[in-house]
Amino acid sequence: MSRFILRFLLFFCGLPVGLMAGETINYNYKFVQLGGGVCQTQNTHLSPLVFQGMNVSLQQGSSRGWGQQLRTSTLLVNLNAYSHSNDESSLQGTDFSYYYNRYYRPDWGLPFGIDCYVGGGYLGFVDVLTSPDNINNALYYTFNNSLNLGFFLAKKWDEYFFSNEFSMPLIGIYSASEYASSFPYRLYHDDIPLFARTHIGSLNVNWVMMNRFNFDVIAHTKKKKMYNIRFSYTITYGRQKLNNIIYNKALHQIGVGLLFNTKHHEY
Amino acid sequence: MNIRFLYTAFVVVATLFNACVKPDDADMSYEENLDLLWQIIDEKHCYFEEKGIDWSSYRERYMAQIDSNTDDYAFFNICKSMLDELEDGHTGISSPFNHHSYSDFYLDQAHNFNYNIIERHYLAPDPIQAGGFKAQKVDGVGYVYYESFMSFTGREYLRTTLQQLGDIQGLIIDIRNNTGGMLLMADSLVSCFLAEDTVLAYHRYKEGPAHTAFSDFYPYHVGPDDSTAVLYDGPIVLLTNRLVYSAANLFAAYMSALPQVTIMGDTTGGGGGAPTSSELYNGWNVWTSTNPIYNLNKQSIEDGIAPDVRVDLSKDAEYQGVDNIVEAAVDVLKAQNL
Repeated sequence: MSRFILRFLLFFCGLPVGLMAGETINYNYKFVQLGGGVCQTQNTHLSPLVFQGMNVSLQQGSSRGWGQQLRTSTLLVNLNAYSHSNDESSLQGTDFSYYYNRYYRPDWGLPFGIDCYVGGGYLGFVDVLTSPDNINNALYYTFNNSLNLGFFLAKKWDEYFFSNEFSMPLIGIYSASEYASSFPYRLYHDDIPLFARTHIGSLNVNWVMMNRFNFDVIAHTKKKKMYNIRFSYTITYGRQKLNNIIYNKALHQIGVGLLFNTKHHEY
Repeated sequence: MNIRFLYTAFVVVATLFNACVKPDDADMSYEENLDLLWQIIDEKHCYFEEKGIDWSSYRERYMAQIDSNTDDYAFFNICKSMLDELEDGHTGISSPFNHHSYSDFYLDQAHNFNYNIIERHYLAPDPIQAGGFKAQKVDGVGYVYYESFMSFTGREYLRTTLQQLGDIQGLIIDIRNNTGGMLLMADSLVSCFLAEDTVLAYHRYKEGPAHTAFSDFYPYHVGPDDSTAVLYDGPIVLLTNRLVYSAANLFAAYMSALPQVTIMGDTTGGGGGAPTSSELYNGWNVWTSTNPIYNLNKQSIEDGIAPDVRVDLSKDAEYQGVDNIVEAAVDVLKAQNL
């Protein structure tokens, strides 16, 4: 056990000493996981304050590799509850993310036999926030569609499997609350045509990034039953500036889940 | 691998994540809260240019009023005094112990309304009450009083009210002392008198922190309900006073665009900017006019809608238990039917 702890800590410190190189890894599996974590948001449409919160999440997805290619997809649902220590303010939110990425493995020959894939794909991101304390504009939404640049790193080490998936936007089309969504005056300004609500974003005004680190391991129970367990640490960061509204969101969460259909996910 | 070890590692890492969160700002000073209040208004309020307000001068003036003796009550008074400089009924502040919004726009003016007279002399003894409408036939003319737009009342209630009034020589809609509520209510009510989709107002939206950063004018359409015809196409008198505000003010603007409508009474109180809300570090709520609304001629309705016929409630009539504004409206409608 002490050997495992040492290697685990060294990996987090960026010192993957002793990793084994040159093994063939298959990436075919599906996964589902539950998680939770902490989050922070500022949304000047609802409040100028910075709110801290907790979240619970559900992730499911799949990974399939063949030849020099890899395809991953992830659906992530978060329920977020934010509060402020003035004891007067709170926000509630739900966000959905869907990532679909295709990667290709260049012949870069990284040290320690780390597999590196480069590619990109699609991100759909929806965040809905409500503020029960806000009298006139209690609702905020943002809906992002973007083409992404992505990196996927993976390393197998004994019976452990580490992978890290990073995704950042290249260009996107998005829509968000940009004027008053006024209660009790009017929730939706139908006099503004739809195209006026839709924007092609530059990275200056619209950004959604995700990084997920996975640690897959085979766990044995006392009855010698075997599970493919996944631990993950996901960071989601969103930033948007539209008209008079600034939206920032940072979300850190850890999750525990199971891998399915792992007959090709060899250890 | 040991399950217990994995569980322990999970908990340890989860605890470490909490350290990533930025500390909160609930303990900000009065100066920082006032600065935030000033900034919120500076970036969101829409009538600086129209009213000629030099907002930059107020920050230091009110900041100087904060001293070591300032407590929450005194600070609230400093905030409300600064906000009152905007002379805007849609601007206000709310704390757990007090609530304030600007009200001089009607307190300094004649009230021009006495509900006791309306109830006892015009609605009694057996008024028609449907939804929020209270109605009675007055000397052959339909009289409908509608006191608030805070809750939504569908047009079917006005239809049944008019049906119960029967044949009328004209219609009086009395919205005096109606301080507004939902813009949708103004839309719904005016749609009862429209035969087709009609542009009745324009909206602009605050697009940035600059005092002049507004969107283009967006025409605001109001259309009739497909399921019903025009509910009433005869002459209408709309009664207004200074306490007609916000959504009720918009309704008066809508009605002023209809040729069969005469507005009578006093200029409405205004409230032409759709407000947005925000909050201070200490949790107090703040709201202010952000997105201005304009009439059909693209003129601001912030200062109210002037009546076609100015009539004030006379003290003598009030003493006799009569509303001379209603009486004048009846005379106008009956004259139009001659």
